[in-house]
Amino acid sequence: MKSRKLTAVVSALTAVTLAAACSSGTGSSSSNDNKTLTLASVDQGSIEDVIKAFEAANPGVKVTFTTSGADQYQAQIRTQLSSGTAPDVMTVWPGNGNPGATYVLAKPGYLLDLSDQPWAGQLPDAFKQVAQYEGKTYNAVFGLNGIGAVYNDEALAKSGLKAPATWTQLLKFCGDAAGKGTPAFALGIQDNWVTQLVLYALAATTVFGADKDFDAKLQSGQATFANSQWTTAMAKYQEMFSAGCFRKNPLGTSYEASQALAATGKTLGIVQGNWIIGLLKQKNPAGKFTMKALPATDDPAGFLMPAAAGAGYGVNAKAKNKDLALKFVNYVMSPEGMKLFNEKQGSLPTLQGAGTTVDPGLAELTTFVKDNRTVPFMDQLWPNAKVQQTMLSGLQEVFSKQTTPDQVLKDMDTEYKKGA
Amino acid sequence: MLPALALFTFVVLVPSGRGVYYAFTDWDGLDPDFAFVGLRNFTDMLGDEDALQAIWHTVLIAVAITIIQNGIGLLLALGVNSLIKTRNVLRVLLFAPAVVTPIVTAYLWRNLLGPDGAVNAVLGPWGRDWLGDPDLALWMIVVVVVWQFAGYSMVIFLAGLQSIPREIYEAAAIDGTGPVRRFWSIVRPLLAPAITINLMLSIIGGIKLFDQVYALTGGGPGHATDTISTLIYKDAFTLGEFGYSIALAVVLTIIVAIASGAQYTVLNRNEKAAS
Amino acid sequence: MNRYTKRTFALEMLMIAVGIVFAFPVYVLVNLAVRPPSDTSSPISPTTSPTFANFTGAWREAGLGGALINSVLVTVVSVAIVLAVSALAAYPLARSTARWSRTTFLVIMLGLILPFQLASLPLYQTVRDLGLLGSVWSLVLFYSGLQVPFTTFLYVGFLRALPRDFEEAASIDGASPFTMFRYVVLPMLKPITVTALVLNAVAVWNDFFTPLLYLSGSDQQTVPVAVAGFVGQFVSDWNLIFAALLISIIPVLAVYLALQRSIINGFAGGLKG
Repeated sequence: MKSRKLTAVVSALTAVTLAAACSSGTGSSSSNDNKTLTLASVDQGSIEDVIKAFEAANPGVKVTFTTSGADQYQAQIRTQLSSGTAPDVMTVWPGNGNPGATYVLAKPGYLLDLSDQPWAGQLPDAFKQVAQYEGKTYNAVFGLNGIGAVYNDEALAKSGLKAPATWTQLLKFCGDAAGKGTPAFALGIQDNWVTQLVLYALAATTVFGADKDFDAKLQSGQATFANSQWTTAMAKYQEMFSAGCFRKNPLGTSYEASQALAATGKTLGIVQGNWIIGLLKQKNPAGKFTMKALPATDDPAGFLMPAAAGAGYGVNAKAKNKDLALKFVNYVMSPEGMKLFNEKQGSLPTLQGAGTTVDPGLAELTTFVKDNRTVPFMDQLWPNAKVQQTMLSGLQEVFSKQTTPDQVLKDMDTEYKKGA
Repeated sequence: MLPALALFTFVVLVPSGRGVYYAFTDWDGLDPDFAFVGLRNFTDMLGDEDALQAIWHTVLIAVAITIIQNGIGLLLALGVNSLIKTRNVLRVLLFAPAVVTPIVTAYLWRNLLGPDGAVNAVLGPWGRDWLGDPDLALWMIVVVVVWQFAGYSMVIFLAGLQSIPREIYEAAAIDGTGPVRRFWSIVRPLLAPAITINLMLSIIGGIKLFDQVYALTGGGPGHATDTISTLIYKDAFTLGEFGYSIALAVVLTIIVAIASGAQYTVLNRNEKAAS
Repeated sequence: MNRYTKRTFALEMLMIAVGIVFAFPVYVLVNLAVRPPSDTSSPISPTTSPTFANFTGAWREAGLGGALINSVLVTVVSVAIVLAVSALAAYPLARSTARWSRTTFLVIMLGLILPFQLASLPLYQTVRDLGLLGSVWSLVLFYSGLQVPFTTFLYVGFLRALPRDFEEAASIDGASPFTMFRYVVLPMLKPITVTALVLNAVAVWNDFFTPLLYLSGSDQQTVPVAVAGFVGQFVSDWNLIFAALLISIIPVLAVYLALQRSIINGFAGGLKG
C-alpha cells in the first residue's frame, strides 16, 4: 500500500519530467544570427513595452531579455562581464559610486564607446558628466529623476493643513499632522537605499545651496563631510524625526509598505523620487499626488532639488550583435523611445523635444530643472561604492541609536579618501 | 565510488580550491588586472568592525538556533510520541514548514513581522518593531528559522524515540522511576545518534545561514544582523571587493570546520560512553 | 501506562495549542492570498469576500508554469544521480577499513563544510566553458556533485550500523561483489534511501542562489527564482505575492502529504542502529 503510493508519485513525476525534457529542448541555445539581441535590465514594468515597440519597429528582430532587482542584477552582471557571458545591452548606472556604474564598468573596458552616436553630443552637460568616462560617452541615459516631498492631495485636504513652504512651517506641519493622528510622511527605511532620500533632499539646499562647488572641493581634499554643511543636513534629518514628521517604526517599514501608507492617506505624503507617483497611483488609482521641494531653510528662493539621470543603457564592448545593440540604444534615445520609457516610468526626458507627457504632479520639479536649480544625486560622483554603503547603513544605525551622525560622516570621509 | 568522487571533485573540490586563490588577491570581481596581496585581506579583517561583528552574529545565531530548535524539537517529539489522539495530524503539521522554500518563508515572515503585520495585529498594544529594532531583529531571524526547522528536529528525535523498545520504559515504570529520571538515564543515552545528527545539521546550517537573513533584514538595520554570509555577498557584489569577500568565505569555512570537528569529537565520545 | 488519562488530555490540549501557533503564519498566508487588494482590514480577520483572482494573476505574471516544470526536472534528475552514485560510493567506504577508505571519506566530508561562495565563481566559468549557462542541465551537474557529501554521509552512517551477516552469508555462497550489492545490500538500503531522497529533493528544490546565477540571462527559471523575481517586481501588491508564494508551496506540500508516512518512517529507518 505504502510503496504503491510511492511508485505512483514517482511515476507521475517522471511523466512530468519527460514532458519537460521534450518541451525545453530548444530553450537554452541562443542562436547567434544577427536578428537576436540579448539584454539585461532593472527597469521592470517599463522595459517590456519598450522592447515590444522596438521589435515592432524592426520586423524580424527578437530581443531576449531578463529583468531583476538592482542588487541581484549587480551580482549577475559583474559575474557575467568578468566571465565574458554578459548580454549585448545592459542597464548601467550614471557616474560612479555603485558596482554597476558607468565609471566602474567603463574603466576595465567592458563598455562600448557610444560617443559617435547622434544623441551623445546633445546631452546637457549635467548628464554628460555622468554618462561619460574620460571624455567618452558610454551610457545612454534617457530619464531624469528628482527627489522631493510627494503629498497625497486628498489626505492633505482632509487634514485641513497646507503643504509647508519653509523649514519652520515644515516642523509645525509635522507637529500638527501628528496631532491629528495622520503623520506627515511615510518612511520605509527597512530597505536601506531609502534612508538617503530625505538626507539628499535636505543636503541639496543646505550643502550645495551654500557652496555650489562643494563636490570639487571634496575631490581636491579641501573639504570633508564631517566639517561641512552635511552636518546641518544630518541635524535637520534628526530634527524632522523628533518633530514627528515620520510615521512610527520606520526601520521595520519596507519601501513597499511606505507606499501603501502614503497612497491610502494613512500619512499625508512621502519623501521619495518622482517615480513614486506612478506606484502610488497603482495602489490608489483615484488619488492625486503632488511633488514639491522639501523645505530645508526659511528661504524658498534658495531651495535646490536633487535631480539626476536615472539608470541608462550601455553596450557590451564584446557584444555578439553590435549593430543591433546600437540600434536599440539609439531607439531608447529617440524621441519615440524616450517618450515611451519616461511616460511608463514617470520620469522626465534627458533630451529636449522628446514630447514626453509629464505627470501634472511633477510641475515643480520640471520648473526646477528648467531653472537649473538642481543638484545631481550626491553619490554619483563619489569615488567608490563603499562611501554610499557606509552612509546607508550608518543612517539606519543613527535611527536605531547605534551610532551618531558625526561618526557616520567621519566614516564616509575615511572611505572617500580611499579613492577608487 | 568513482562517479561520486569525480562529480564531487569536479563540482566542489576543484572550484573551491581555485576560489581560495582569490582570497590572496585584491580582485574587484571585474577588472582582469589584479594583484597578489598575500595575507592583507586577512589582516584587514582584524581592523574591520563590520566583519568582526558579523562573525560574532554568525556564532550567536548558530548557537541560539542549535539550542532552541533542538530543545523545542525534542519537547515536540516527546509530545507526539505520547498517546494523544492528534499525534499523527500534529506530526504532519509540525514538520510541514521544513519542506517549504526558506526564501518563501522568509518573505512571508517579513510581512508578518512588519509594523502593520499580523503579529502586531495579534499582540495589539504589545506590538513592537520586530525587524527594525537592532536588539530584536537578530532574534527574529532565530525565531523564523526555529519555526521552520523545529519540526525537522522533532522528526529525527521521534525516530530515535520510536527505536527505543517499549519494554524498557515499562520496566523502568515498574521500578518506580520518575519521568524526569526515566528520560535522563534511559531515553537520553538511547537518543544519542539522533542528537548527533540534529546538532550537526543545525550548527552547520546556522553558521551558513543566508537566504533567511537576506530576505528578512538584508543584514540591517545598519549592520545589526549581518552574518558572514551576508557580508560575503555584499562585499563581493555591492562593494566590488571580491578578494576580501572570498577571504571572509575562508574564515567561514574555518569556523564551520572547528565547530563540526569539536562537536563530532565530543558527541562521538558521549555516544561511545552511552553504548 | 497505555491509558488515556487526564494528564494525557492536558498534554493533548497543550500540543494542539502549539500546533495552532505553528499554523498561524500559514493561516495568514492563505487569508491574504484570497483577499482582493481593496480589502484593507487587519491581516488576521478572516477575508469576507474571498477571490481566486490573485492566483490566476500570479500564475500568469510570474511564469510559474515553466518554472515548475524546470524545478521538477532538475530535482528528479539530480536526486536520482546523487542517490545512485552516493550509494555506490558509500558501500566500499563503509565496509573497507583500509587507510585510503578513511581518507577518502574525510575528503568527501570536507564538502559538508565548504561554503558555496568559495566555488561559485570558478564553477561559473567551468559551466560557461561547457556551454551549459542558462540551461537547467548546469544545475543538474551542480547538485549532482554538491549533494554527494551529505548523501554519502547518510549512507555510510547507515551501512556501518547494519549487521554484515547477510553479506557474509552471500559471499560464502560465492556471490560477486556486484551481485551482493544488487541483491543483498540494496534492498536493505531502502529506508535510508527514502530519507536521503526527501532531504536531497527538498534541498535542491529550495535552492535559490545557484539557479539565480546559472540561469540568469536566459528565460529558464526555477520556482524560487521566479518567486523572488516576482516579489521584486510586485513589491507593493502583497495579496498577489502571497498567492504566488502559496502556488510555489503547494506542489511540495502535496508530495509531502502524499508520502508523509514513508518520509517520517524513512527518518526512523535511517536512524535505527
